Amino acid sequence: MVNKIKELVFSFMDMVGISRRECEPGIWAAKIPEAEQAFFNGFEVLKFTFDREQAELHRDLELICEGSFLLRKIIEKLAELPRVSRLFSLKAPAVPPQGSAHELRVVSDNVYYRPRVVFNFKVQFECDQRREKLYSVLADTASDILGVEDGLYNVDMSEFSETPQEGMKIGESNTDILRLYLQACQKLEESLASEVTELREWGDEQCSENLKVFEAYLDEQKHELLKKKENVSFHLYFFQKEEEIDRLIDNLEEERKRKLSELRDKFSVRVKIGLVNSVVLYTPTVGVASHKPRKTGDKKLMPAFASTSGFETRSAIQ
Amino acid sequence: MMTNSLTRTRAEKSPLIKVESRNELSFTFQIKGKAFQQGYLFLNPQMKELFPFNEDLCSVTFIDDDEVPHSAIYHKMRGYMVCLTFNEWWEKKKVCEGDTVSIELIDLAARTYRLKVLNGAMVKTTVPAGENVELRIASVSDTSISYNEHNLEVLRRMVKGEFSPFRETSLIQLGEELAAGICSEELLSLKTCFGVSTYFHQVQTARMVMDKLNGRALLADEVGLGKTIEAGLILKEYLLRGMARKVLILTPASLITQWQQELKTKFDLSFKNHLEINDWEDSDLVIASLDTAKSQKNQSTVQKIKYDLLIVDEAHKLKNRKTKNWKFVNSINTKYLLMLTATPIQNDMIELFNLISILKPGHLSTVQKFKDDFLAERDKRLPKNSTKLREMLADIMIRHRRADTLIKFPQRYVHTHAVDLNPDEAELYRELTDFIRKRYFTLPTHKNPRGINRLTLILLQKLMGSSTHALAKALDKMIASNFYKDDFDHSLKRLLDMARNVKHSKKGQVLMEIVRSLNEKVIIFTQFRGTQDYLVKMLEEDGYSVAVFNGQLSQVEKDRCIEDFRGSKQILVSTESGGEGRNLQFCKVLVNFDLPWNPMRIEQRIGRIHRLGQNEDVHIINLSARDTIESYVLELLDKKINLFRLIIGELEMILGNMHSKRTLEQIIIDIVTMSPNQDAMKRKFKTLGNKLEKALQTHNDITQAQEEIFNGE
Repeated sequence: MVNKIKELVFSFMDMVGISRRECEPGIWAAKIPEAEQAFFNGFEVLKFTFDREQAELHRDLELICEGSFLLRKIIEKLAELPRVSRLFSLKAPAVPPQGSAHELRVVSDNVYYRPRVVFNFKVQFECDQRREKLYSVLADTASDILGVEDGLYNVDMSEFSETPQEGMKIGESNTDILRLYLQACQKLEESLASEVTELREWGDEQCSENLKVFEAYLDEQKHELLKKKENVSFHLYFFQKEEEIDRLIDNLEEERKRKLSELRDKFSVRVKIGLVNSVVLYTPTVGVASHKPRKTGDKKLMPAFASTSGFETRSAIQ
Repeated sequence: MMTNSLTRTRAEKSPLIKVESRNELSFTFQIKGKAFQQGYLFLNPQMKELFPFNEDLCSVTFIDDDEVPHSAIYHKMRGYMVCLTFNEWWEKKKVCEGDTVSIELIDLAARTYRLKVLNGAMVKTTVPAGENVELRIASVSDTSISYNEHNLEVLRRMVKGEFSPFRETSLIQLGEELAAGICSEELLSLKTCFGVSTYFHQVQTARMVMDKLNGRALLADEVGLGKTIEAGLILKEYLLRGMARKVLILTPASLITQWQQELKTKFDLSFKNHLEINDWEDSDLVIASLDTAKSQKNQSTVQKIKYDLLIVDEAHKLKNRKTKNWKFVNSINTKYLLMLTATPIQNDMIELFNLISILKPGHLSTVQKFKDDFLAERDKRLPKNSTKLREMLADIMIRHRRADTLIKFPQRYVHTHAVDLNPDEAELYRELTDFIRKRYFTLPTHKNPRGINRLTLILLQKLMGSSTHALAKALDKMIASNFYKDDFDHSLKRLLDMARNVKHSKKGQVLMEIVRSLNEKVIIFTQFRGTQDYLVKMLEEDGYSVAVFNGQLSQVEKDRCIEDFRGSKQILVSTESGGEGRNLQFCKVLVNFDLPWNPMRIEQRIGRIHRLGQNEDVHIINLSARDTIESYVLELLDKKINLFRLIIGELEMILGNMHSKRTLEQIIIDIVTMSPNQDAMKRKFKTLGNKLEKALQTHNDITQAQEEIFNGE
C-alpha cells in the first residue's frame, strides 16, 4: 500500500510540476509552486513522509498514509480531472465479433482499428453509513455488448500502445457515444438494483423503527398534555394554563416535524455515480466495416470517435 | 470549428421535426420518422432557444404526463438530445408517427421540461390489469440515484477527441483504487492519530457507535478511560470516510483549549473556537462552550445549521429537560450525536432519561412510563428493573469500568518537600505580599491609569512563589518600561534590589539534592521562563545534561528537544506551554518546582507522564515554601481533594460539584488579594477547603450510585 501511495503522490507532484528531494532517509521536501500552495495548506516547502514513525518523531512533517487528509485531498483533486485516453492494441488483427443486425461487414485483407470503450465508474452508496464501490463497463461498439465488471478496468500496457500503427485506419463506429454512455449507465444501474433495494429496505426499516418509537413518545406526551388540559378548569389561572399547554403541544408538533426530517435525511438512500475516466481501446480488426446506406446526405456530421490523427470517420448517428 | 454550421444545416434540413407552434416557454412539433422513438430528439434553431445552456453537453430532464422523469443528454454542438426512455414513453402513450408533442419549460435552473403528447394520446393510456409499465433505467424511476455533473465533462472530451496521455488517466484510476482499498473494515483514524495509545475498549466503542448505534450514543466510561480519545476516533473516522463535514463540539469553556490541543496534536484536526470564526455557517469544525452557542447572539444560527456530528462533553449538564441547555441541545439538527459523561446520573434516574431523550427520543418511553417501570420509590437514584433497564441502555449507552478493561494503572507516589525559605527570601516574600495587598486597593483608574493593574500584581505574587530570579527579571522589565514611575518606582526598585541580593534559593538547593539522589530521567516543571533559565543554569553548572522546552521553540526545535530528552539528556526543564499530546511516558519522575494556582494545570502536568500508556509507577515531587500562598494552595489541593492521586479527568468533575461560576484559580486570587492580612487569608482558605471536601464527597456518592445502577454492585 505504501508503495502505491508513494507512486500516486509522486506522479501527482510530477503532473502539477512540483519538484522534490529526499532530504533525510524517508523524509522528502517538496518546493510548492505558488499556484499550488493553497492546495498544500499554504506551504512553500512541504516536508513529508510516508512513515508513521518518522512523523511521530518529527511533528512538523506531513504524514501521507492511508486515511491522511493530504492523500485524500490529492485523490479528490485527481478525481476532478476529466481524463479520456485512447490506446491501440499491439495484438495481431482479429476477425470482428458478430455485429449488430444492421451492421454488415465485408471480410477482406484490410486491417482497421475497431473501438471498444471502457467506462470506469465510482458508485457511492449512502444511507446512514457510506461506502464506495468501483465498476467498469466495457462497451464493444461492434457487437453492442456491454459488460459490467466489479473494479476498474485494468489495462495491461504491454498489450497496448498510445500511438496507432502506421497506415492502419481507425474504423468508423456506428455508435453514438452519448447513447453508449447512457446504455452503460443503464447496465450499471441494473446491476446495482438489488443492492440499492436492499439498502433502501434497511434504511426504511431503521427509519420506521426509529419513527415508531419517536411517534409513540410524542403521542404519549401529547396525550398527557391533553389530559392536563381537560382538568385545567381547576386551575386558578386556567386561561394562562390552557395557553401554556397549547404552546407545549405546538412545540411538540414542531419537534415532530424536525425529528421526522432529521430521521428521513439520515436514513434516505443516496447513490451517486461518477465517471472516473474513460478509455477507448482500439483493436486491429480484419475486414472492412460497412454501414447501412444512409438516406440523407449527413456525411458531414461530426463522428463520435473523431480521429485526431486525421483519419476520416463517419457519423455516429444514423 | 466546423461543427456549428454543419449542425445547423443538419438540423434545419431535418425531415424529422416540424415545429408547429412556439412561444417563450414551450414549443410543439410533429413527430416524423423513427428518431424520437429510438431516443433522439433533433432540435432546429427555434427549438434550441428553449435550451440556452453554455456547456457542450448537459443533462436535461423531461417529466411526462405521469410525472415520470426521463433523463436526457443534450449535445449542444450537434443540436440533439439522447434519452434511452423516449421509446418507453412512446409505447406507453401509444404515440404514432404524425402525432403532435409539446415540450414546455418548467424550471430553467434545474433544466426540467414537461413532455406531452397533444393528440392521439390525450386520452390517458390504460394499463391492462396485472400488467405494470416498467421503466428500465433505474435513475428514471429511482430518484435516489444521481450522476456527477463531472461525468459529462469526461464525455465531452471523448466526443471532441481531446485525449490525454494514458499515465494521467491511469493516475486518476490509481487514486480511486487506493481510496476504495483504504475504505476497509479497519478504523482509518487509528492509522493517522499521534501519541495515542488506543486500547481495545476505545476501538470497540468507536466500532460499536458506528456499526451498531447509528452514530448516536452516550459515552459514559468511567473517568480516566479516555472518552475524549473515543470521541476523537469516531469523529476522525466519520470525517475520513466522508460521512461528516460539519461538526460542532460543545464543551465547558474551561476545556475548550484542551480539546483543541488534543484534537490538533493527536488527530491532526484543527477546530476553531467561537473567537476564531466569523461565521458559524461557513465553519465546518467548530468548538464552543454551551453558553456561547446558546447565547442570544448565536442560538438561532446554530439551530439553523444542519450538522453531521455534534459532540457534547460533560453531558451531565443536560440532565434537566426544563433547562435552556437541554432545550437548546435538543433543538440542534444533527445526524450523529455523541454525549460524553462519566456520570449520567447524579441525583436522580430522570437525569438519565433526559439525556437519552436527546439521543433517541422515546427509547425509554415517556417520563411517566419510565418512572412507573424503572424508578424505585425509596431512592430516586436506584432503578427497580435494573436488568431490563441495562438491556435498553445497551442500545444507546456505552460504559466501561476500569476493572473491565484490565488496563494496568500504575501507582502514583507523591512526595512533598516543605522548604523553609532563607531569611533574605522570606523577607522579600513578606515585603512583596504587603506591597501587593496595599496596591490592590489602589488599582489604576481612568484618572490614574499608571497604577499597577490587578493581573500584574497577581503575576508578581506568582513569580515570587516560583523564584526570586523570575521576580527580579520581571521587576527589571517593569522599571525599564518607565510606565511605573512616580508613585511605584521607588517601591519597585527596592523590591528589585532585595531580589537581586538574595544569595541562594532554598528551593533551588533542595531541588539539587533531589536530582543528585536520583539516577534517572526527571521532568522539572515551572511556570516562568525566568525560573527556567535559573534552573537550567544551575543544573548545567552541576554537570547535568538538560533539555529545555518552552513556547518560544519552533516545532522542529520542540521535536528535537523531546528526542534529546528521550535519548541522551537526563533532565527536561519545561514550562507549561506546548508539549500537550507528546509522549513523555518514558519518564516517571516529575518535579513541580512551583505550583500553579489553577489545579487543571497541575493535572495537565501530571497527565504528561501518568496516564493510559504508562506502565511504571510514577513519582511526583512538590516543592513548596512554608507559609506562602503556594503552600496553602498545595495543602488545599493535596489534603482536601487528593489532587495528586486523582485519576486524570476526575478533578473537573469534583470542581463541577462546587457549582461556582468562578474557577478555583479565580477564587484563590480573590482570597489572596482581598484578605487584609495573613490570618484572614488562612481562614478563607480553610472555608474553601471545606467546600472542596464537600464537593469530593458528592463526587464519591455519585460514583457509588453509578456503580449501583449500571453494574448492580
